[in-house]
Amino acid sequence: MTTIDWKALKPHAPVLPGAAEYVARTGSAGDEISQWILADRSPLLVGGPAGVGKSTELARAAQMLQSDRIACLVQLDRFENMRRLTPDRMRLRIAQKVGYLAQELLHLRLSASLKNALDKVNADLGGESVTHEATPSVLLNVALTEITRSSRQGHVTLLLDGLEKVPQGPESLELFEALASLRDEVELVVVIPWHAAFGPRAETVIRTGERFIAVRALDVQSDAGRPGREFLRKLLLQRLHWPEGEFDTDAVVGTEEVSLDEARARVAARRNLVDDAIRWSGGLPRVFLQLLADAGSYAKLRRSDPWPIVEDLNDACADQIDSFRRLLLPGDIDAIRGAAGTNGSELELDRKIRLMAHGILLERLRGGARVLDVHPLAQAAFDTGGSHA
Amino acid sequence: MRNAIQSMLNAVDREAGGVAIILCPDFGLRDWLIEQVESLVPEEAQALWVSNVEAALAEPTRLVLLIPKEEREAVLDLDANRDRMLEEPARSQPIVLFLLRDGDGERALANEAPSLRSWISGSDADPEALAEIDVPNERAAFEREHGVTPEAWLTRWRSGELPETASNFRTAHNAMLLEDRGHS
Repeated sequence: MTTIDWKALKPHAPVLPGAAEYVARTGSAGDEISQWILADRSPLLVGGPAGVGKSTELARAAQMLQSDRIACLVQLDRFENMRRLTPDRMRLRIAQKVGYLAQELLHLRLSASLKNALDKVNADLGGESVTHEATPSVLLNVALTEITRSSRQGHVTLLLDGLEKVPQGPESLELFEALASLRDEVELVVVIPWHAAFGPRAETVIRTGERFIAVRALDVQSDAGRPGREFLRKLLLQRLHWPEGEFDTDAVVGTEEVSLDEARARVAARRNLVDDAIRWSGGLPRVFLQLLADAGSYAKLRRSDPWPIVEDLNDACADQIDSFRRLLLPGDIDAIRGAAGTNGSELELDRKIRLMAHGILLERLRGGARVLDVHPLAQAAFDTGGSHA
Repeated sequence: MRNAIQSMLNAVDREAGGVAIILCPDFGLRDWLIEQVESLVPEEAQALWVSNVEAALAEPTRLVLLIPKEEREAVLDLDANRDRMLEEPARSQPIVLFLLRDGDGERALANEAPSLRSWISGSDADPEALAEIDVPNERAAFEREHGVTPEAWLTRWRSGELPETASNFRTAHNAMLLEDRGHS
């Protein structure tokens, strides 16, 4: 049997713009973001549970907007400690990224003064002591103005990733206020934390007229969940660099060593195991990849087998259930049971924010209405007794 | 059936540059678990002990055992910095964070750090709790697999009768864990 590199699944790594590993998903938030930006200019706020694929969808939107916009994806959390990020540091980081895109990738003709200012930004972010000609706020706005004017597209879209990790408090509000001070012509797409999306100032996080898009967990149950299941199977194949027909029993051929029936049975068993992992994932891509990475690792550790068996997947699920159980606080179980199947309006705000951010409660659309579902692993956690709850 | 050593190894081994958390019931067992992890990982991982997140991030090619002085700070810093690990040069070895069970770090993970929690979900082993729960089953499973009790297997191992393969090292650690529990 050939070995399988389960570490290639990389559950924590989002796909970069234009990467071949991107798998299109039905009702993709990336498509929705790009369509909204092309039709309107109001800021777009993006939220969703951890591990649902927000960063990947933002990268997808950046890629789709490239021909019509200077679409600049700024992954703030790749470079900055998000606990210590200040508004000025954020402005400089955005100026650096948009400057790099304009000069190095789009080869725009920028003024010598702007090039000089951007060199100083790079030096500053690299830890050197420099004096800027203007405040970071002015510097960013003039850079955006000149780049917009110099470009064929005539519009700049900033897609900011990572702000969902800023802690709740006055510092995070200052960051959003800094974004509000950007030129109105700049189109903004910002991933925001749950406390910003649903907290006391939720009515306007950045600017009046903004719109909120929730990246939701995939529906993977029953007939309606078929596209979701298909997406996750493709995701697995892409990350393992396997051919598309790998789980298709009709595509199997027998060999001298393995009969056709045996080969089909093996493929069917693999597909069933993957489908079990899909069901347990609740439609969260990261959890799905974690379950299979862990099951694969158990198979290797225990039997040096390349492919996991049901017991390995069960134990990977048990590890996740323990993990979910540790998240439950006093009162959670009753609150979750009360909220399941409703729109969650009766839940206390802090609890709702925490449970949705962790993906314990998943928001789904059913018949046009928003309904909260309990994640299957969280359900199993409190069916077997929460530690504190 | 899960056992403590497998779960701990699985947590550490999930991703080349990921984060794993080992929950410890007290300081004494934390020291023991740190030693266990250090002895179980390959030598080329060059395990290193650090006490803060910046020091951990500064060593992307070494397996870092992060034993924080302030657990909440470490969890929040790791939450705020975790995506820096994806930038080139990407980490090639994991960070293993040791937290006290029910301590400030575990609370911060549940209340304030959903991003990090999502990263480590399923990779946050509580070996002592697993060992407590599973000892009879683990011993039975061990005997089924090896045909002898952990103590009998260890007698052969300690006499040099068994070859020093990676698989036997793991079995030895497993047997030692069961042996200790069996006599406590």
